Amino acid sequence: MNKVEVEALSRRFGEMYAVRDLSFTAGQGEVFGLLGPNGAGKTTTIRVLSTVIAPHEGTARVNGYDVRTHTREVRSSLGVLTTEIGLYERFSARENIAYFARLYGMAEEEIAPRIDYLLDLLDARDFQDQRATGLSTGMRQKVAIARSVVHDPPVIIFDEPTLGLDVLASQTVRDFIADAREMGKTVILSTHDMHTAQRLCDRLAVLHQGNLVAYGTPEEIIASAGGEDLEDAFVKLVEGP
Amino acid sequence: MGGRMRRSLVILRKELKDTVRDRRTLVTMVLVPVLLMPLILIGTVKLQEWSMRSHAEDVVELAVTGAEYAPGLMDKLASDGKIEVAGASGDAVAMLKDGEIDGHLIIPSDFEERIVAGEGSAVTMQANSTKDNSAAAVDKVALIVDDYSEDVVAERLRDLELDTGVLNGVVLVPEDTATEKEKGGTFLAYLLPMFLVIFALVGGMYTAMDISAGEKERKTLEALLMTPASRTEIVTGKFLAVATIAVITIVLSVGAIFVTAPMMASSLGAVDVSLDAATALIMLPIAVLLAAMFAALLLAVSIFARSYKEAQNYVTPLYLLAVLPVIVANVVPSGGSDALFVIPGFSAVVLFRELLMDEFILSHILVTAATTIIYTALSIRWAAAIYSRGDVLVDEGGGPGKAFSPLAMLRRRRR
Repeated sequence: MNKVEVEALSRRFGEMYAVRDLSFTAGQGEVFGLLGPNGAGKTTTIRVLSTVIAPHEGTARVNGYDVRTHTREVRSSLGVLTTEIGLYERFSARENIAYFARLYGMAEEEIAPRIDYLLDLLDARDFQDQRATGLSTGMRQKVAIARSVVHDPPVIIFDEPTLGLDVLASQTVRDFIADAREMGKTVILSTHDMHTAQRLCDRLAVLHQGNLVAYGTPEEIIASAGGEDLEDAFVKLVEGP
Repeated sequence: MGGRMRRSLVILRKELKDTVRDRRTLVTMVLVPVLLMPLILIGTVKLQEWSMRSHAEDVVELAVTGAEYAPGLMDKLASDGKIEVAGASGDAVAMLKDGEIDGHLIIPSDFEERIVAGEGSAVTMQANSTKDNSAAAVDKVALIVDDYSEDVVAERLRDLELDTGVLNGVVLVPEDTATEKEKGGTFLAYLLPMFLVIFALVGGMYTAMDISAGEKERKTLEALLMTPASRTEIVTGKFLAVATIAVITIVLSVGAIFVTAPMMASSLGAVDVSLDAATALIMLPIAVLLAAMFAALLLAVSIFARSYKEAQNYVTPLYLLAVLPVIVANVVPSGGSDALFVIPGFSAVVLFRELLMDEFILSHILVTAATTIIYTALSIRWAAAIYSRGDVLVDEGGGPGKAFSPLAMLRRRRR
């Protein structure tokens, strides 16, 4: 069953297309990669899927809900981790997560056990009561991840989740994504890290200058573009053979 | 409680908690209205008192030319104790300029002869009006000269076997019928209205910038927009937070004024600075509405900025625009045309002043209340409209000052 469906999606800023005629699907229990250099349109696609901005043409559905007409249902179905990890600095890690749990409409009695579960999963218990202002990048990323999935959404979108993280923290994030797939979640992973993409993604879409230039499993993309691995194939797709 | 209101209340609660933890906002909300403002007010009054007292205590250095021509007057000057007489030597004008002396009294050589002959006589007092002590010296010496003059006149009348009362054709005896309450109202009328309106704006200013532009700068706004909370719920929660902070500031500042007013009032004589229920019942809702109007305007303007610092640039003109009519209102007389009461801020200051001075003009109350409600509703609607725009809330890569500038927005609208 497809949890994310994007059909002929276009979004302009002024006269310029950030994304043009993009189509792809991502199924339940699948990690779907969105690859592309800076300015390829990955973040715009994520913003359209998360209803922060509306598409100009085409449509997209998340968990069966249209991003234009059912914005609240779409946002309830989604957990989004953005590239820039913004936390409320005067709030503790736990308070940051709890605030979002309440905004997602979780019952008060469900919040504490869910946060405990996520903090254990992400190995973040030690700093749960520390104010965000004193947290390291890795700690902040763990809080941001917990915040984005606190409501246990069926679809998770991670935009550069390992950016700026050390090896151990990156591994925690990768394990989290793998666990999410095991639990039947749909994960859209936007990343520059080709090794992570090749290892984790079941299927991929490669974007370049707002256009879809490749779509399929990592093996299919490597085979069609040529090269030893996904990184080679990506360079060939973006820069030409 | 509906889900919609529940999310707004979650946002309200969070913003209030965040504000309480923000020292910068607390300073504006508590320290300035509760401590600084009364300190400034009391300080000003006490400084004036001290200045007057200190001038009264000061010894005047008086140079006298022709002291030998007026022994009676010189005795009077010497008996005062606060005047030190010195003979004039050198350039008195230059000495006055340098502050070496405070005044120079010039007595003509025929002074005593004219007094004895029953004629009028004149003495000249040179002073430098740019020197505080010199100006005070004129007042002091004038009092002594007047006193001496009265003694001379009294003696002449005695010689003519007349009573000194013969000089007073009609005497005016002033009698103030204003009650202590009315005097207190007048005293409050100069302070309270202006503070109420200014704190309605300033109270929520920093919170508004922090929870809009500040949230954008800290990159938390986008995460908030991705929750099921609608833009209307978000702006409602934030609006309620800013308005609440502004109202708390108003309450604290008014409280501080009522605590400190008696201290100031004691310097001005017996006054009663209590507020009656009817006045409070009209003033409070209008002040709350004003706080709400300013809260919505501040939120709407601040969200265009990408940082707290940039928001300050946008909010400053709004502050000046709001404060100008308040300052004007504080100097215009009461009882103006109803049409003037459609000016936001201005109307509240004039109306509050009228109420405090026991002038209940129904048309002024109604026009102020109605227009404040309309302006508040329009401001909230405008803020909600701004928050529904994706290009204002999220950086779409338009470059610095392009997508977010209010001017750019107006240009786009004109196209």
